[in-house]
Amino acid sequence: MNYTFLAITILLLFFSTSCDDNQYIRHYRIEKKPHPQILSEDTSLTSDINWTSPSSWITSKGSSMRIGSFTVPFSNGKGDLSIIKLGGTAGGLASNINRWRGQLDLEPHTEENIQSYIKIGESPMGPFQWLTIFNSENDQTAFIVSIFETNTHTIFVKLNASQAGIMELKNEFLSFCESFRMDSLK
Amino acid sequence: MTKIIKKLSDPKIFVYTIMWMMILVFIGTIAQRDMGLYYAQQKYFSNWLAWLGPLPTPGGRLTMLVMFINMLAMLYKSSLWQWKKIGVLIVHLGAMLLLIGGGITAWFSFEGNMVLNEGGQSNFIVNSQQSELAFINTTEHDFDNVISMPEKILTDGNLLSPPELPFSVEIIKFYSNAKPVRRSKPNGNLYHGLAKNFLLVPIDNEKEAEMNRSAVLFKISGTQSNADGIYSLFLGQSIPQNLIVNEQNFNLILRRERIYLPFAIELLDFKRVIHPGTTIPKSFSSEVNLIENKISRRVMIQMNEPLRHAEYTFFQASFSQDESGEISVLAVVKNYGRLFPYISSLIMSFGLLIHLLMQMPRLFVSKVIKEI
Repeated sequence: MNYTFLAITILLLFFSTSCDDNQYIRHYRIEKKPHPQILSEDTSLTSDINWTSPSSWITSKGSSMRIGSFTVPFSNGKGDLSIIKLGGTAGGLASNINRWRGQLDLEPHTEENIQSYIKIGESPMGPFQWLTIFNSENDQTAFIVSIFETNTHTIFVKLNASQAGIMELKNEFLSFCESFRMDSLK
Repeated sequence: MTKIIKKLSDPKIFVYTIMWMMILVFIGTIAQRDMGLYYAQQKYFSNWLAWLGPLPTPGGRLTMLVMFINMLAMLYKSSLWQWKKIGVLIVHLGAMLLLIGGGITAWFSFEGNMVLNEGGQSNFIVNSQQSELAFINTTEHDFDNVISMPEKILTDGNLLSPPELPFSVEIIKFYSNAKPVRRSKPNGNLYHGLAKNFLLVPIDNEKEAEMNRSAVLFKISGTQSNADGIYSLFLGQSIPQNLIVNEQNFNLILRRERIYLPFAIELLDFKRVIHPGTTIPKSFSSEVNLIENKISRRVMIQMNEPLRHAEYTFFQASFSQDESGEISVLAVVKNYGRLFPYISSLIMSFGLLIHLLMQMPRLFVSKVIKEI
C-alpha cells in the first residue's frame, strides 16, 4: 500500500517535470501551396490603422483602393500621398520596388541590392521600411515610399513629388509614418 | 514510509496551499494590468517558482502538485474509507480529478489562431505567443521539407544539428522583442543577409505578447562553402533569407509557431450583424467548408457555437475588413482535458449531496434532542 503511494508520487513528479512536447525539433513534409493563401498569424491585426498627419497636409479624395490620401504642399509645388493596404505580401517587396522603379524608367534591382539601401523606421504599429527613388534624368517625379508589413497585410505609403519636394518633405513624411498605429476593433 | 505519508496527508497542507493559490490569483490579477495576461500567466501560474522580487515562492504549478500529493496521501487514511464518509470521499476524488484535468490541460493543450480571408483556406494554426525558426527545404517539386525549431530551444549558445539539415545551427542570441537598426557600414564577410547591414537591438517586451517581434542571431557552419557564417532574422521580415547548400535550396524564416492540421478550412462567407443605429457588433458568424480527404462539409461557426473536429475546437473570435474583403479570426483550442472540469464538478456536487443526505438524520435527531 505504502509502496503504491511512493510509486504514484514518483511517477507524478517524473511526469509533471518532463512532459513538454514543445522542446524538440520537428520535421515534416507539406504539400506546396496549391492555392493562393492570404493568411494572418496575428490577431492584433484585426484592427483599424490610424495616423497623425501634419496640419499643412490636405485630405484629398483618392481612388477606392486608397485608405488614405493627402495633397502635400511644399515650397514650389504639391505632392500626392497615398496609403494603400493590400492582403498578404502584395507580391513581395522587391517586385513592388521594381514596379515603382519602372514608373521612373529605372532598371530593376535584385533583392540583395534593395537590402543594401533600404532603411528601417519605427512606429507604434511596428517597424517599417522606407526608401527614396530618384531618376537623375527626371527631376519632376520622384518617390519616397514606406512599407509596413504584417502577417496579413502590406501597407504602402507613397509620396509622389518632384525631387526637390521629396528632399524637403522627407522628414515630415517619416514623422507621419512613425505615427502609424493600430486601434483594436475588439 | 508510513510516517511520511502521514505527514503528507496533513489537512493543514491543503489549507495552506489553497490559501497560497488565492494569494497567487490576487497577485497575478493585479500584475496582468502592467505586464499583460500572457506574461502574468507564465510568471505566476505556469511556473514552478514565482519570483516576488528577489524572493522565490511556489508558483501555481508547484502549489497544485503539492496539493495533489496531499490529497493522494489522504486517500491512504483508513478513516476516510468509511461508509459514513462516502460523500466526503466522492468530493475528494472529484477534486483530484479536477487537478488531473488541470495538469492535462497545462501540459497537452494548445491554443492558437486561424485567420481566413473570404474565399481563402488554411490548414494550419499559429501560436501568437511563440516563434519558431524554420528551415524550409524547397528543392522538391511538390513538397516542402520543414525543419522547425521551437522558441524554447532557441537559447543562447545552443548548438542544433538535426540530421535533416546538411549544416549545424548555433544560436548566438534570441531576442523576445527587438528592432533592426542599420549598421553604419556593412559588417565583415562572416555576416550574411540582414546581419550584414542591420544590427538587432533588444527592446522591452510589449504588454500584449503577440505584439512582440522576436529576432534571432545564429551561426551556420558545416556547409563546406562560403554560406557558413552569421545570419539574423526577425519576425515578419519582408526579404526572405535563402541558402543553397549541396544544391538544395533552403528558406530561412523566423515565424509564429505553426501547427499543421490533417484537414483544411475554407471561409465561404463571413457575416457581421451590428446593433441598429450603432457600429457595435451584435454577432459574427463564419460559414466554412471543412475539407478532409478531399471531401468538404459545410459548417456554420458563430459565437457560442464552435466547430469541434478531431480534438480541435474552433471558436469565432474576431474579424477584420479591408479592400480585399472580410477576414474572420478563429480561435483554435486543442484540449484533452476540457471535459474534466464538467465531470469533476458533477462528481463533487453528487458527493456533497450524498454527504448532506447522510447527515440529515443526525441533524434532525440533534434538533429533537435539544427541544426535548
